[in-house]
Amino acid sequence: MIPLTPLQQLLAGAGRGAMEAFAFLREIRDLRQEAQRLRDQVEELQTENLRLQELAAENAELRALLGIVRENPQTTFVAATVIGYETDPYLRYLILDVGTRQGIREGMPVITRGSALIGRIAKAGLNRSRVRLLTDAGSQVGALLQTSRATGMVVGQPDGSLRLDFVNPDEEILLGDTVLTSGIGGQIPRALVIGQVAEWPSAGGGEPFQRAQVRPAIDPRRVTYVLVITSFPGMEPAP
Amino acid sequence: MRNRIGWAVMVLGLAALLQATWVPLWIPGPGRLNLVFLVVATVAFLGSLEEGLAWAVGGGLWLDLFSGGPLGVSALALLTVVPLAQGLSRPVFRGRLVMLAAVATGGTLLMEGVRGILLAVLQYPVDPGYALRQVIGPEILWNTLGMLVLHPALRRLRPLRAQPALGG
Repeated sequence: MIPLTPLQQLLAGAGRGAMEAFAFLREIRDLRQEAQRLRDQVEELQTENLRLQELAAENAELRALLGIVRENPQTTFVAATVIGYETDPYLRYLILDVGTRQGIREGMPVITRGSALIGRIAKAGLNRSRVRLLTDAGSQVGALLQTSRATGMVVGQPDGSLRLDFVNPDEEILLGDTVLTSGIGGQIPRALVIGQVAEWPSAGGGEPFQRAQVRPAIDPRRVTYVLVITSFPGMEPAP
Repeated sequence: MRNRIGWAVMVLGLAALLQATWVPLWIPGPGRLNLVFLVVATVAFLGSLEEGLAWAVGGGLWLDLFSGGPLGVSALALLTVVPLAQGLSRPVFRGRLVMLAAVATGGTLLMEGVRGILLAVLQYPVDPGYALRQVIGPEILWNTLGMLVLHPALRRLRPLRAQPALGG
């Protein structure tokens, strides 16, 4: 007499165990696939997130420029994209994707968000132009201090810094004061932002003028979109 | 011949284009890697004098095309690199990494020194102290590093000259 019941129980138990083991293995395989799928999805979303962040930054920059255009209805602008940087380490220029075909001429001021002046058009080709940055050595712009109303010139230095110069000794230079364009000469509009006074002015010492370092309002390397001011109220024809 | 000129124009143009777009974004300071210099120095090191001079003129003109400075300054500055690279490319030295580093170091010093002098002569304000500290010093480091890292790829631009047989 064969004891069928215990054998049957044993086999049924073993069968169930084997099935569970198979199910477990299948589950592991499915989980692995699921984990891989989720990892791929995370990577995709991270890439998408970076792209959206980039678009948001671009959008903010363009909105800021649009704001400038709306606030100055009597001024005409040409929007441009920075497409290149200076290859000579001693000079500071940018290359824009607009030229004479879009109405760009030499000497026109170039601004970016916050109405910050970054430089002037130095050479204009048919479809591209070069901007001489304020920080280029020898670049000069008439300046006005926002609080003290002192006037002078902001001059680019060979080391890429900016210096406020030719300020009369009886005028006041305040640390942190905002440096604006004076508009004198009629080539650049008044009250564009140049930067901030970054150090106390050099003491008299028999020198006829006061001078001080200026921190530029904008790092040109971080600029992608700019506006070229093609005309503004009170603009004088170029000499 | 025409193929070789086309190849040179294309390679130098690409290097100058990257120099005016990507390199300033990745390396912020004024003293940065100069891809056109690396290409010209490699060709001058591995090729003939005439070839090196031709690549230097082409590379310099490409660089000046993307610069606000006077045309020809970069070409003249790059030309000075060629005799140095040639002088250091004797068969006994060729293939030694230390000689590549010497070409990159000496070449950068010469090129940026001459460029600075030319600009000063042309009335562009150049501060020698600043040039040494902020331009030439860092650029020497970048170019030497770049030469050592990129040399395996750059040497494909110009195959090695046939080496003279030793012995009798």
